[in-house]
Formats: sequence, structure tokens, C-alpha cells
Amino acid sequence: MLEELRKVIESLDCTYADARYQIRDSITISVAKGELEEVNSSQTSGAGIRVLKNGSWGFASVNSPDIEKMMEAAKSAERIAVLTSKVRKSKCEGLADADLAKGIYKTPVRGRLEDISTEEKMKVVVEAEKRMRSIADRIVSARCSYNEIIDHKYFASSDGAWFELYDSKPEFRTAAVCMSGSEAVVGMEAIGVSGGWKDLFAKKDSLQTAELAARKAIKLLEASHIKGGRETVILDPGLVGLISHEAVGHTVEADFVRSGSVAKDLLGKKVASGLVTLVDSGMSEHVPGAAGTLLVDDEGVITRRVELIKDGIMVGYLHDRETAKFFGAKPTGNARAFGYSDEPIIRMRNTYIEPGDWKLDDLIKDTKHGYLLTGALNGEADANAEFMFAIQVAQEIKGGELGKLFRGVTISGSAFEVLSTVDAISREFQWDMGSGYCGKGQLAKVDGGGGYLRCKTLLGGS
Amino acid sequence: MVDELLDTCEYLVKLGSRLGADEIEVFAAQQGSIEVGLENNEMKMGKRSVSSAVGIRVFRNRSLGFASVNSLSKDRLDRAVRGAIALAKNAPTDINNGLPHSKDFGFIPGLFDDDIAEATEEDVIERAVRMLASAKGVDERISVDGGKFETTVGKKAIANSYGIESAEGFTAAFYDIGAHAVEGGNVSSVDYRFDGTRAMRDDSSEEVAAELAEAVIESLATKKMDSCTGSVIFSPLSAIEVLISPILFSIDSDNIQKGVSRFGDKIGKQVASPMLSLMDDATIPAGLSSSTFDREGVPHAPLNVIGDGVLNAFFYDSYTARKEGVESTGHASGTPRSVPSIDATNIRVKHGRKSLEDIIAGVSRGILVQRFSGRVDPVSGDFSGVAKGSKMIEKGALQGVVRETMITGNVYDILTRLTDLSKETKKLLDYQLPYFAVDDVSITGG
Repeated sequence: MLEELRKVIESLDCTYADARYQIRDSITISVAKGELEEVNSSQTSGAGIRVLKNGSWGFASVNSPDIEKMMEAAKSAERIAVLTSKVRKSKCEGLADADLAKGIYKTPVRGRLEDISTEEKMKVVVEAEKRMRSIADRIVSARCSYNEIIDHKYFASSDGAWFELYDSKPEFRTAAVCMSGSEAVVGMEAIGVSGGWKDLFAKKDSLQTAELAARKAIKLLEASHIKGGRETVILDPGLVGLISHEAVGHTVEADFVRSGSVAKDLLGKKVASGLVTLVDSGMSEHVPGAAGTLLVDDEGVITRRVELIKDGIMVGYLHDRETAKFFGAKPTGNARAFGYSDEPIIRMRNTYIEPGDWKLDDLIKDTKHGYLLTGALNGEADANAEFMFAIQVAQEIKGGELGKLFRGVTISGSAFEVLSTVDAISREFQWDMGSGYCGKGQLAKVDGGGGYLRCKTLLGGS
Repeated sequence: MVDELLDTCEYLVKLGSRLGADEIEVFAAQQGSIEVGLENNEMKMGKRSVSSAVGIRVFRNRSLGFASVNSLSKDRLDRAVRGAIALAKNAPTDINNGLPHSKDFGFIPGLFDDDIAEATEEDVIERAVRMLASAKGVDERISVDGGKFETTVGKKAIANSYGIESAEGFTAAFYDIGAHAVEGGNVSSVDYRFDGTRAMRDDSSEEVAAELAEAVIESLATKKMDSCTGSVIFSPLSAIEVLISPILFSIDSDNIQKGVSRFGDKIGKQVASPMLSLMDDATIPAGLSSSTFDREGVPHAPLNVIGDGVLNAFFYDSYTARKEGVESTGHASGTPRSVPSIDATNIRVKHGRKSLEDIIAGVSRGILVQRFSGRVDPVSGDFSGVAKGSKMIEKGALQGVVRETMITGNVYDILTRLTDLSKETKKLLDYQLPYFAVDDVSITGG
């Protein structure tokens, strides 16, 4: 296939071109309330070709390995580049030099997913769902699902980069629903990793995960609603990951910076407490298996660890080769395309805040009044770093002791203002965003994490 | 070409039956699209794609197997049929599994438009250029972050072992745009708008872009709102997320059967203010979710879901219908890439009597919520989130845009307490909705 991709590129008259051929095998199994909702084995394959000509880009995709069809798509991409170049004011001034891949890359895997039968995977999901409902009568409904993506990718570019990439990303999700009168409460636990079956269940197995979700739902049933206000909070690693990704990470994606995101004028400025070092990396630092792990990006750039905030100072952005050229920076390996029919754009990988020295227990003991927030539900953030996240559980801390539970809690604020209030970070580093996806016109498998982090933010509830 | 796709489906149904499937359904779609993106006040990369997908669902001893491929190559399709049958051998049995039987259906006009089908890369670029110019033309402080104009032409076909054989061609154009405004060091929040159409002559992308631009300019100067319990008017855009999506969740028979719907035992009962009447109708000519048949080949028909606040109907597909011994309402939805799930089609809410202006005039203290960013729990109905690009109302008049203001409440409670629906309605993709007004909602200022 690499030879075919090179021929397709050579058939073009352009400044730069790259071609990818991706074969994706995925399995989805979903069980709810004892019923198998879905067992889906799917294969998707095709080529995506990107062309830079007259300072403008064109992209075309085709669902075929046939070289004639790929060449036809490549010509279409070239034509689009020429047509858009006529209406673009600013041109792409070229691509920055980078550490280009030349070789075969494999995500480390413990327990190949291909070696576990679909029957076995189905059994795990069926039993986990059953376990949740067996915990208590009050659990009226439960859902459990498993999803895996196994990618085999070929890539070649006109400037000599080439690679073959083998990647494997499984996910496991559980949700238990409790009803008390007309009140319904959901407890959720989910895991997602880069790696194999053993990596997926390295921290806790499928039944332990299911039990946690069920017990969380039951506990939340007793929880009250919180009164809004500005409070001291301790964020769990998942929330630290979420704030790093959603509220900070997107603002430093260089394409957004060019569009005028709030980070545009912040390079070299103090944006957070001196305790905060915020990183995005293609590797899985501290703990293996982070779901956003990416060895080489979809421009053939070898990925690296990028410090975005160092000791509270903003020090970098996330780049593809075009924005790196524009900003005079080095490409960071953040150009990613989810499927063969997606063009590479700047995406995060594993985004986290470096752990600190505290122990979580001491951090709680040291807090006079506040809330321990655990379990990110969802969130949204703006280009000006304002965010709003929903939290599964808030537990009150009074005089250094954990107390009452609350649910239906949200936090909001400006990420940089909130990060400026950080006065302690714990050493218990975890990745905890790996079961989800980031959306930016196309999906991306990402992860996020950190230690437990204490800060001040606006707490909302109902 | 539509016939060729149907031929492929029929061939695979025969193959699967021969290989041991008790029941088999093949759903196939093929489409071509051209998309031109906007980014950073410029044309972004243009994209062209050709794609296809075939989903094969089989039942063997009432056990489910499903496989999908994105190719029409005979080898891969044959393998997928065998793969689906193999999965069904290992799956748990469910007596409610099964496929629907063939039924007659009518013709829905307006699903295919030659202008969209024949649009070239040049045509799509021109429309994207005009959309960008429309936003920038409103005010020089506008910065367009992103957006796109996209055309799609495609066909879909379905066949099953009970004689369902249907095919349909379709076209659509979708457009969206996101922007913020910059004035010195003052950067507004990013806001966005979107819509779509079946026919190029109804392309409203320039109006959508101009409306967005006006909204973000207004949001440059934000005010702080004090916390209060006040009136909330939901725009059609915010109503989709806060009010309509929980209703659609609760009338989904799958959620009812799983015990997570608030409406499970409410048929014939008052679930909302008598002002509220909500229809689902996939037979609306040129509707974006209109189609003659659903994901299982069941014909579509209009469904009166809520009439004068009384709950009349739920959404069913074949599986959930069989469980209750009723008929599918034609709400099986989804792509060939996965098994069908239940979803709404075109949703319409009947308008009210008062104009939006008159409704605002009656509000002593409150907020007009333009967009909602936050969490809505469709099970409990609790919602909590930030009102984006939203305006304060004081003594019957709109004040400035507020910042970091949260609204919280319960949707199912609010639905019963609606004070007004506006005379005006707005079309947003496959929704047609008025403004919704309600009193006594908790508003928390930042």
C-alpha cells in the first residue's frame, strides 16, 4: 500500500501532498437491562489525500484501495486547492521542518484485543450489566457497553515521511440508574485506554467497575442539592484533565490562537499559580495506557511532550506543520485525523497537570471548608477559557473531614482565574478521561488527568 | 443507480437466508459530499468525499448479529454476512427480536433537488464565501472562528427477508457558522448558528450568518445579573436542548421499557401546560428528517405526541413495539453502521398567541436565554447550566447581554408551568419551535 500511496502523490503537480490509507476494525457491544442492544462488528477502510497548491489546501477521500480511484480523489483535492486559493487572502506559507517518521510504529499492547473472542467480550458486558442490577432493588436500570477501535494506517508524504501505524483503543462503560419515587439518579464509571484487554482492566476489572457505578448511584440517591456560590474545591484527576483539555487546551491549539483565542496574547505571561505545569503529550507519562497516546501524527510528525504552562507561565501552543511555520515554532505532533475521510487538524492527545507533593488525605485534612468533586459528566468551554462542567458527586469537607454528599453540581469560571487559585496538588496521578472523545468537527480519542488539585471556583446546583 | 443499491441489498438477503439466517435485513447508503470550511475569517480546506456503508442485521434462533462495511465490494459484503451470522450464533436469545413485514407507503415530495445534486466544488465555495461575507459585512469587529457549507447527494436502500424492498434518493445542504467579536482587549464569547435545507433555493446560510454576527456584537458589552428567581424565556435554540430533548427522551419506548422515562405511565394524562402541542412528522415535504421509510423499512406517518398538554403517543421501533404488542410508529433510526435505535424525525411545536415582544413586555425580571451550555438530565429532568449570549429582562424591556449567568430547574416541572408560547416560530434543522416562557426559575449571577 505504501508504494501505491507514493504513486498517488507523484501523480500530482503541487507544493506538498500526503496520502493515508486506514483500515479500522471496530466492535461495539451494548447491553441494557438484561437485553443485548447491539453487537456490531464493523470494518471501515479508505484513503484520504491532502494537497497543498498555490498556498491553499484541498482534501478528498474515497472508500477504496483501488489506485485509479485514489488518483481520481487526489486530482479532486488538487482542484479544490486551486479553486480555494483564488478566494483566500492569506496563504499557507509552507510547512515547518519536523522530525518526520520513517518506519513502523506500534502502540504497546498487553493482551491483544484480536486474541479475545467476541463471545468472551459479550460475556463480560452481559455479566457486568447484570451485576449492577443485582446490587440493590433500587437499581431499576443499568447499561454496560464495550467498544474497541483497532487501526492499521499507512502514510506517505511528498517530503519523504512514511509510516505504518498499529494502534488499539478499547473502552468499557457502565451506568446504573436508581429511582426513588419520581427521582432518578445515575451512577457512572468508565475506562478507556490505548493498549489491550489487560491494559483496559489493569486498575479494576469489569465487575469492580460495575459495582462502583451501582454503589455510586445508590449513594447519590441520598445526596442533596447544593446551594450555589464561590467555594474551595478539590478536583479529582478526571476533572483536572477536563479543565486542562476543555478550558485551557483548546485555547492553545494554534489554529484557534490564529483565530484570536484568549491565549493569543498570553505567551510568556503568568496565567496560573506557580504550582501549575500543564502538558499535552503523545506519550503516556506517569501511568501507562492513556487513551490519547499517539506515536506519530497524521502529517508524519513524531509526537512529543509539549509544555503549555510551565510553573504558571504560558510557554507554548499545540501545532501542526502549517501553524508551526506561521508561529516560528517546532511542530508538536498534534495534527490528527480520526477516520480516513477526515483531514488532519490540530487536536490534543493526553493533556494533564503535573502532579504535586501532597497526599490526598492530607489535602482533605488541610481544608477547613470545601468540596471534594469527583466524576466529570460533561462540559463546555469557550475560546475565552470560560467553562462549565457538570459533576457527578460533590462531598462536603468540614474541618478537614469528608461529610455530606451532593449531586446535580456544576462548576464554572474562567480556567486561568481558577488555575491561579491553585494552592495544592496531590501526588496521586491518574488518567481519567479515556472513555470519552473530543469533538472538533471530527472525533479524537484523547485522555486527561493529573493529581487531585485544590482551587476556588463558582459552584452551581439546583 | 438507486436500483443497483437495492439489487445489492436483495442479493445479500438471499445469501444470508441461504447461509442460515432465520431473518436478515440489509440497509445500504451511498453518498457523495462537498464541504467547504471556514476558519479564522477565511476559506478553510475544501473537501470532497465518496462513501458507502452497508449494515447487515441477522437473527438466528432470535439472537442478534450485526456487521457493517463501508464498501460495495462483493468479497467484503459476503464476509460481512457470514460475520453477522457467526455473531448471532453466540449472542443471547431474545424472544422480541425480529424484523418488520412489508407495508405500503406513499411518496414524499421535496427530498431530492437537482441543484444540490449537481453542485460543483465551485458552487459550494461560492456559497461559503457569501456566508463569510454576510457575517463580516455586519460589523468589522466580527471574527469568524469556523463554519462550513456542505452539500450531500445520496441514496439509501433496504431489503429484508419478509419482502421489504425500498429505495430513495435524497439531497441536503447543511451550514453552520461560529464567531466572536473583538474590540480592543475585549473578546466576546463564541456563539454559533446552524441550519440546513433539502433544496438549494431555500439556502438561508447568509441570513444565519448575519443573525449570528448581530448576536455576538451585542454580547461584546456584557452585564452582570444579580441572582434572583425570575422569568425565563427560552429561544427555540435553547429550547431544543433544555425542553424538547428531555421530552423526546421520555417518549422513547426504549427508555420507557428500561424504566428511566418520566412519561412511562402518563398516556392520556396531562404532562405539560395545555398550551403545549408537539408533533413528530417525517412526511413533511422537504423536511430535513423526512423520508418515506425508517431504518427498518417501516413507512413513516405523522404522530401527535402531545396535544394540549396531554400525552398521546410514544416512539416505537419493531423491537420495542413487539414487546408491548403494538405497532412500530416508524421511529427506527440510524445509519447502516450500527443497529437501529429510536429517534425523532421532524419536530413541530404549535405556536402560541402572544408575540415575543408582548411576552417580554409582561416580564418584570428575568432572562431571554439564547443558548444553553450545561447539563440536562433527561431522567430526573434537572438542568443546570450557563445561559450564553442571553439578555436580561427588566420591567418588560430587554437589557444587555449577561455573562456567566446560570439557570437551574427541572424540565418536567417547567413544562407544566409554561406561561406563554410565542406567536413566532423558528425553523432550526428539523425543528420548528416557538419561544417558551416560564416564571419562577432560579437564576444565579456570576
